[in-house]
Amino acid sequence: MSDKDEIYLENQPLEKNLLRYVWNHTRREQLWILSVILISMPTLFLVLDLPKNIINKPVQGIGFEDVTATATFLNLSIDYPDWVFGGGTLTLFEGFSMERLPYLLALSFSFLALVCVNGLFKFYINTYKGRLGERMLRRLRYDLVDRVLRFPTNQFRRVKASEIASMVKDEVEPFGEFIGDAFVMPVFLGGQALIAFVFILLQNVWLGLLAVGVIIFQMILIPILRRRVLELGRMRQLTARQLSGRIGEVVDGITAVHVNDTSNLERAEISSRLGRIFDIRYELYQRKFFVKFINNFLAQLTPFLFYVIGGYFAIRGTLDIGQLVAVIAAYKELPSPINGLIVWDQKRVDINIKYAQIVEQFNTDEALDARLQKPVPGPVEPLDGNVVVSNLVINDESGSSLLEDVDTKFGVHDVVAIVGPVNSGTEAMANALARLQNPSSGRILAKGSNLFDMPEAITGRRMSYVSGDSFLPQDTMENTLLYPLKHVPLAERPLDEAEKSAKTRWLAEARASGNIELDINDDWVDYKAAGAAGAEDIHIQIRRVLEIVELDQVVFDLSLRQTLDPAENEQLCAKILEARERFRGRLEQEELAKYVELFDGKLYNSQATIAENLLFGTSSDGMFTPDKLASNPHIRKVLRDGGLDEALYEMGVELASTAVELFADLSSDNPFFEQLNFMAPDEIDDYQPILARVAGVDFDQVKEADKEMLLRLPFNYVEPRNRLGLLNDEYRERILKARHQFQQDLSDELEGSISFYQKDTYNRMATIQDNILLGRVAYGYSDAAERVQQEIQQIVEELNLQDDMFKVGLKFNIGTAGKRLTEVQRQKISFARVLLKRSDLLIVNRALNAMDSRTQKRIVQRVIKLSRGDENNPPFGIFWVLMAPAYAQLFDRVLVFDGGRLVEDGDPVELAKTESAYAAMLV
Amino acid sequence: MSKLKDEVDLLRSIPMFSNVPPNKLKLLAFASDRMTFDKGQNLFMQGDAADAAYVIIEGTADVLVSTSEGESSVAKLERNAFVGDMAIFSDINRTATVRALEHLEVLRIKKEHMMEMVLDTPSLTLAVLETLVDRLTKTTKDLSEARLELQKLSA
Repeated sequence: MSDKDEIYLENQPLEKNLLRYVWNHTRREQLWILSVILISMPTLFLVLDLPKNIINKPVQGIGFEDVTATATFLNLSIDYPDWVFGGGTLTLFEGFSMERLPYLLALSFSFLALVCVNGLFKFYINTYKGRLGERMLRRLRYDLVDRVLRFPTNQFRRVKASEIASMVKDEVEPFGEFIGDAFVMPVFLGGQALIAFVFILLQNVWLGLLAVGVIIFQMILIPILRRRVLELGRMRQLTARQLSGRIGEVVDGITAVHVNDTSNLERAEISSRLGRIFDIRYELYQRKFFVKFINNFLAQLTPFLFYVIGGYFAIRGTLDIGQLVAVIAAYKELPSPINGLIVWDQKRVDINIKYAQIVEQFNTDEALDARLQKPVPGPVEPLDGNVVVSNLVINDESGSSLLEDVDTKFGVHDVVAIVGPVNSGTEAMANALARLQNPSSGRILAKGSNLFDMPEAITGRRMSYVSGDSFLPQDTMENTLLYPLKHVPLAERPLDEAEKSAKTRWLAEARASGNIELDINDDWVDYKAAGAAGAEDIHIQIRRVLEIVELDQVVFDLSLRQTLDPAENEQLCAKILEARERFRGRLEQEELAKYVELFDGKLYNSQATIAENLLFGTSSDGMFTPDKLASNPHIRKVLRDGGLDEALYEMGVELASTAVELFADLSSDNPFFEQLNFMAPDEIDDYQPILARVAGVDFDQVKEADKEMLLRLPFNYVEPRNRLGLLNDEYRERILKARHQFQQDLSDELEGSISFYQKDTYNRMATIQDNILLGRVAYGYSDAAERVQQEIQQIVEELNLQDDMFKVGLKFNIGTAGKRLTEVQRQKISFARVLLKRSDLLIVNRALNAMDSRTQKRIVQRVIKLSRGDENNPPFGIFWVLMAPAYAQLFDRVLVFDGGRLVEDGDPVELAKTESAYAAMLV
Repeated sequence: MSKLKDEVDLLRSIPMFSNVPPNKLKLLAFASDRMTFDKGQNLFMQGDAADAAYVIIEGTADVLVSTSEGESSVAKLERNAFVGDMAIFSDINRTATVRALEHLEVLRIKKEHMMEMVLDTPSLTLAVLETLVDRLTKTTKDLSEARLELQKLSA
């Protein structure tokens, strides 16, 4: 197929009939598998036929009545009937003459061989059908998502995201299985049924016609009965889809549920939906099984008729009894293929309805032309000249107008501000310019051609758009920032031989399913567009744009909270150890000392937990995490030997009673629970009975389970924080002794389970900040954390580690929908990344509205300065819908909108001096 | 030896907390942070958002209000003083700066904990109301005295 045809097909609506859709794409494969099945038929027949022969001939001895009798094996001769050349036998191979025992063995081994061949046929056929189905499923899912990517944006106001996901993922799932059998099954079963029919007809025309009559009756009756079943199937699909849409809404709006006490409303609403689904499904079952009942009944009715009518004629002597027996025997072969056909047809209709239902949602008249999204590998021509907006009218779905008859013209490289109240048309203007909203009439020309006819390769690379509610999927900060630079794969990742062949196979498979043949694992980042040479120096550009939105410091702060694997970052880890050295040097000199308590193998660290003091390290494989220490046999032994177990147990009792006393009557979401660092809110209820059981009981008599529960508590105890006065010098001394003993006793195999705090080792389980400190920030000083961080930053700068730390910080995972960042940070990162693209025209649609006005102003100033261009960065134009009209003064030109109309256009400074609408907004 | 016990005793000696049940006072102390400030350090600054109230355990502090002629001290705080309590009950910003005059030990009670406690303990709610009324009475009295003085001056 040429490219042109492909595009043509992609622009066509999806085929509404599933069978036709399948046939269009798998014609060749369907015919092939059909022929394989036909070829496999003789083997199947022989496998069924041979056992009878083995039993009859060599075993029971038919034909071997005489001891010296032989039989011929592998006699390939065909008897042909009288009407062909007067009858006779065509002998291809005379065969071997064999005695009884060898004949048995020969037949048995032939049976074994045939079973193998037959099994292999089945294996091939089933895998082939499976692959066929899976490929079609892949193609269908891909086609559906392809449509989603070309939906006009207003389509998304009609369909819910979770409904689309449920359609693409769940609803098409059963298709795969059906597709493999879509054509093979009816041909196959139909053939079987036909043969049985012909046989019956040959035996007795009347009885044959009787059987045909019943089946025709069945074929007329069943679809009538099934009409309601199909209707129900459609309803089932719709209600289930709406349920998943509704659940998505509940999850997205969960805060509204909590703050309004509407959880029970949601429960009732979900319950009513589930009830409706239940009703539909129950009725469906009833009807389905009724149809089945009718089917079975009719199938049994035919033999009844044979017995009655055939028997009658036999008694009357008009029918040969032999014929009657043969007809009944042949009819026995009929029900299974007929039933199979009925089941297949049922499935076909059911799946076809589901398919049509789905496709209907994805076929829209206004889908973007597929040509506009074709991958364009090379750089695209820059935009220049003018953007001309003429008679632009935009109405929303309800028909109310957002923009009325706007005429304007500006240079691509102009720096323009757009102001106006909310809903005055400013957002619609920006959205139209970004092609997110189709004009109802009028047009926008850029570089002389209609903006809406331009490929996305031009608009998406030479123009940028950012609004206040950009969505950020879960990824690292770095990938989030580079996202707008990923248009096509530009550099293949280096592959070894095995990977190369895997890739070839992978791409061939993609082609077979009509998927796009671009490798997601290649490097897609267009470094040149960002002004970098490649992956090595892209972070310089990233830092540049992050500085503009004041996010660079955040990246540094985040980097301190990241962990590093020294195996992969040898140099950086060595440098961090150097930073640790310097940090310790500063502690000796300055008043900084009181803010940090360093880990020292010989000293108890009062700012750390008892667990940390005991282990003097962090668990690296989960074996020695604080909650498991109480049940760990090594720890228990050390505690016992050091006379600590009873002491810690007493502390545990004290902590448990304090927690129970203070927290027992609070609900588990009470804010006070944040301060309870040694127990989970829901554990309070567990400790009450434990305390009652152990009261007055000697330590030795306490049950192990209770002991363990109580021993767990003191491990998280920190004296300056909890201030219960449970630790004294003697206990500290004993814990230190236990620490040493634990380290001495530790077997080699457990050595790797703990990363110890050692002065010259990098701890891969701890954050970078903890590695630099190798200590704990002290409780009780309000500015301790801040001061420590300042100090660290200075050291990082002295050691020239900013770049490395910056890169580490960029690896921070921003969380689902960027929720690990604040809203302001999300807006900043969305803004920064479109700057990274260095496009010709930057469209900003109230993108900074979560920030305070001073920050907004600073960012506007920096971006305007950037837009003038410098030796490294080309100049670009700005089309900025502002929140605060005052900042328009920083721009060269302002467009003022009101009530969907462009009411003013001019130099903002001049306009501000006159009695203009703009000046009125400034007051 | 338990510092928490001392803190509970300290809280009880503050009139507003005198009628609060002992286990509630202990919870409040348990949930609070004990903090140290050096001479010259600010507990908070005028205009900051209010996120906590403070009880002075040891040392003295100065309450400063910035005027057009610079900062002026309006009160001294000593052991047992409860400061910053009013700002956390509403969303107003700090109306004054509090600065340590020497080494200062304080108990920092977070806004949400104080709120929770007030909502949960009727005796504390009444005590807060009482304190407010007292302060209002004092302010009204001061105001009328100041007016009187002003009248005398202008007369």
